[in-house]
Amino acid sequence: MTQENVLEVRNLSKSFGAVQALSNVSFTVGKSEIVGLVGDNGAGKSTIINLLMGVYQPDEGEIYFEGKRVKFDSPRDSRATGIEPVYQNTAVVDMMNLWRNFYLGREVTKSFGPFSVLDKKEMKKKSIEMMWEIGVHVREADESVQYMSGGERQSLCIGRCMEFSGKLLLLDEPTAALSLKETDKVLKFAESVREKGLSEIIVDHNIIHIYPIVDKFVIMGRGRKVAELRKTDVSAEDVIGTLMKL
Amino acid sequence: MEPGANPPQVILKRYSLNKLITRPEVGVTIGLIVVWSMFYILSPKFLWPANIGSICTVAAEMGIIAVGMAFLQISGETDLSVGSVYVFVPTIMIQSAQAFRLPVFIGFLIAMAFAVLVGFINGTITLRFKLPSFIVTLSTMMLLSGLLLAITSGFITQVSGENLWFTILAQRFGDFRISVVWMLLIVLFFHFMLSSTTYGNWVFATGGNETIARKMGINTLRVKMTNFMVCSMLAGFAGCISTARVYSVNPSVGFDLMFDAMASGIIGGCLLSGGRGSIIGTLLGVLLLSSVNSGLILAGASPYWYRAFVGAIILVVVIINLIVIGRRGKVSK
Repeated sequence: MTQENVLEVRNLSKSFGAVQALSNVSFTVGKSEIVGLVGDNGAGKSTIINLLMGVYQPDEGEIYFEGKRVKFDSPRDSRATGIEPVYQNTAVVDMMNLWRNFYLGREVTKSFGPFSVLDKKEMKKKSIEMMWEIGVHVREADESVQYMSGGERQSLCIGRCMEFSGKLLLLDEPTAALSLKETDKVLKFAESVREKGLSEIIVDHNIIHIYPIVDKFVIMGRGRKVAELRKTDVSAEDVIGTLMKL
Repeated sequence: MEPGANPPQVILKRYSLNKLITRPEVGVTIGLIVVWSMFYILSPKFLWPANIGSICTVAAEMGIIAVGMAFLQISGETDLSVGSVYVFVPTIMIQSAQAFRLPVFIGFLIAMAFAVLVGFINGTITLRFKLPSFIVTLSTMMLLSGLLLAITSGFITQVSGENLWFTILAQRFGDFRISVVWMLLIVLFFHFMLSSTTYGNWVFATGGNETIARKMGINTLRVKMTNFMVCSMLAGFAGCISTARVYSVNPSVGFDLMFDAMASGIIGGCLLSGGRGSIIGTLLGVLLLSSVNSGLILAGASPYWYRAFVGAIILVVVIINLIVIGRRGKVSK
């Protein structure tokens, strides 16, 4: 494998009971590359994402991150390695505020006598600065994220990824349930993230939406990889054609 | 402005009316002011130290249960068995001390271990079998209270003779009892845990959206399990304080307290579905209910009105809370 690959998965298989959710899937994600993971329902896209997140462990196969073999026993391991999720529309807890979400699972603490106390001041300051750096001009870290727009929440996830020097963003159906305008924003975000040197895997149903930004398509069908196509070689219609034939 | 622009001034803390009224404690604070003024007008004795002392005594025991329950509820689960634990645990404390001729304090430790075990069982069954905690704890509530009635034949368990541990738990000083200090310490500790520690952040996240919390690397099962045990332990502790006050355990008093503790949390801004709530709010809810209790008596009303009053208060305060949340544009689910 080459050094430019951020992620390489080899021969991943996973079954749940009698259901073979994934069999023998291999692909790579290069540095600053956006990979579109596409396929119909039940194709195994979510299983791949969950394996990369450490939610499940593969039955067979290996995952390499920046050339090193990795094993994720839990989402904590995966995040510590540098994989950051942006879940369907959001990976934030609605009722919590900006800084609590931003640092969820990686809280900054200081010692206060025998106790370890949240360093709220630091977390508020840093989370706001990071949001500004991405271009979202929030002012209050105490604001509950349920009052933020879809785009702002996605920025939160991206900012979080950058703050913790994540290298690979998993966008699981980032445009589901978004308006056209918001979808456009999300795709622009995805592009700007690539410009910052991060890699991304985007799971989406809508090929037309993601075609302009994706570098490579990995097409899934019934748990298998059907094709891996560079965008330069195919048109959006070709990709859709391949999917429809399955 | 361009991406990368520096924030002109990061606002770390801003006090504004708009922000103040979106806090979970708003409804209950309004309720408390209204109820206190009303009872003071009906009977000025309401604010006499003796009466405040008796309100605090009731609030101490109810409050300790309610804090545990609120903590568990914020993480998205509930515990109906607290009332049964509240009477079962002190019975174990007294019976084991008397049967084995142990100091009451040792009996207390045994009883508290039992309380933790009940929480552990509630948690294990709920989490392992993915059952609603409502159903699981409904059955442990009945199991425990039935078992206790069978063991004691429904008789009140009496304590004979003074002992130091009971003095530490509930000694009277003038109009007040030391139990109120226990309650305040517990309130402060859990308020601190919830608002200022990593664990508190996980509790909110677990109740707010368990799927996302888990994917962010939080062991939500451990959070819930811990809270089940904390809740049960505090309910048992409250029962021991009550026993230290009256030197007996009545096996049939737990049910009402369970409802009162749950109502206090709801009045204090805790969402039954989890993710939102406040320990301070819960304390205010407890004060509200115990004030109503004593206020009605002072006003010459029949104490039977208490339930009806509490029912009305829950509705009014919850509606205030909804309006408060709604003011920010969206109502949380």
